[in-house]
Amino acid sequence: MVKHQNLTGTRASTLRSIRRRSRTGVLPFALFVTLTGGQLIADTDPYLSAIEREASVLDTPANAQRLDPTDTRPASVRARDFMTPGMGLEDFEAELERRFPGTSMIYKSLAGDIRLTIYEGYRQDNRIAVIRRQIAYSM
Amino acid sequence: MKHAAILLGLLFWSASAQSQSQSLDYPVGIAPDLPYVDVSHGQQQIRVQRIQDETHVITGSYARTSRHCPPFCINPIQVAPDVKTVGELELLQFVSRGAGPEKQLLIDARTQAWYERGTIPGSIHIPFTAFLESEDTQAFQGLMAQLGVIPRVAQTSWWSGLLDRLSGLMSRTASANEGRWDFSDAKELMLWCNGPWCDQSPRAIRALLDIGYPAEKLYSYRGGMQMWQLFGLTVIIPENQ
Repeated sequence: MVKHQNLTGTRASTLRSIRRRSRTGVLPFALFVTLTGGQLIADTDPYLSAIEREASVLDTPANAQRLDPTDTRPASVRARDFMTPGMGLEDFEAELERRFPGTSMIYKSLAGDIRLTIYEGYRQDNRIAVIRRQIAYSM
Repeated sequence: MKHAAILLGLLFWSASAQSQSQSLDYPVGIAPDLPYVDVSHGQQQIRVQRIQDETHVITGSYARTSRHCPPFCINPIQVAPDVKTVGELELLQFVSRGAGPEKQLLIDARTQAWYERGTIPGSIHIPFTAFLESEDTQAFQGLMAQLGVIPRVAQTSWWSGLLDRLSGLMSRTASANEGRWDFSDAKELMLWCNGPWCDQSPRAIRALLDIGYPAEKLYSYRGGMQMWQLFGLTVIIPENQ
């Protein structure tokens, strides 16, 4: 532990002092590093090699969202584009009532079998725009 | 007077109804009365919330308990004296307090390969290796400018630069850097990496301290992506990845 701490604690200053020395007099070393694009330092730093090895088997977290650079609307608006996916019928109806009360009011006025069709539709496509359209066409 | 009381009552009812409605929308909140936090990420607003599925468990890379040590050892709670270690709530407070990137930065200090697989909203990417660059490179000076740090005295000639370096080598201490950089407008920085087993942001912090960056302007989010994942908090894949 102590040994490792010492190693990591002095890494930055060691690298800097190596580089300082190269600047102040060891021109060939500086030229070599420049010509090899600094690859020498990267290759000989075991920590860099270890984290790159780890990163090569890294997967993207399950909840990672891809940013759409063209969409600059606030998240609070975008969050209303979708219903939570994968809900059961009861949860679906509860969320519809909570988040989209107007749509829910119309939905509740529909016959039971039509409501089930709407719910089946939601399971295929959870965009609120699509759900609203289905409800409207079912009236 | 009576109307004012009714109005106040209505306002109170409306506020409490909204809070109740939000907590219904977010059964897995961040903290009591804090269901989510909207964070600026570049030009976009990102809603940071927890995964609402209470049966969700971590899978994949962050589910691993064991990595070879060294280098992936357990880090101490504090990177260095006077550098504050913070948790998730302090991080969220940091990014949502509206100080703006001209005053503070949340820095993902991991290398590119880690960053591109997902980052914490509100973070900018500066890999720890950038902090280890030679102080004379344009890249390092650009980095310092990004952090609000400017050279204190412009070098007048190659000889004066050489003398500075020689005096630095002779003293062999961090004080050799004193005077080189002006930190009076240095930004507050919060750095993070993969978690308590990751040494990337601690290395960046140590490198900053090495050049004289004020410790009181540095924060370390030790939990990093590991704890962020454990709480199911929102992760974003950066643009152009």
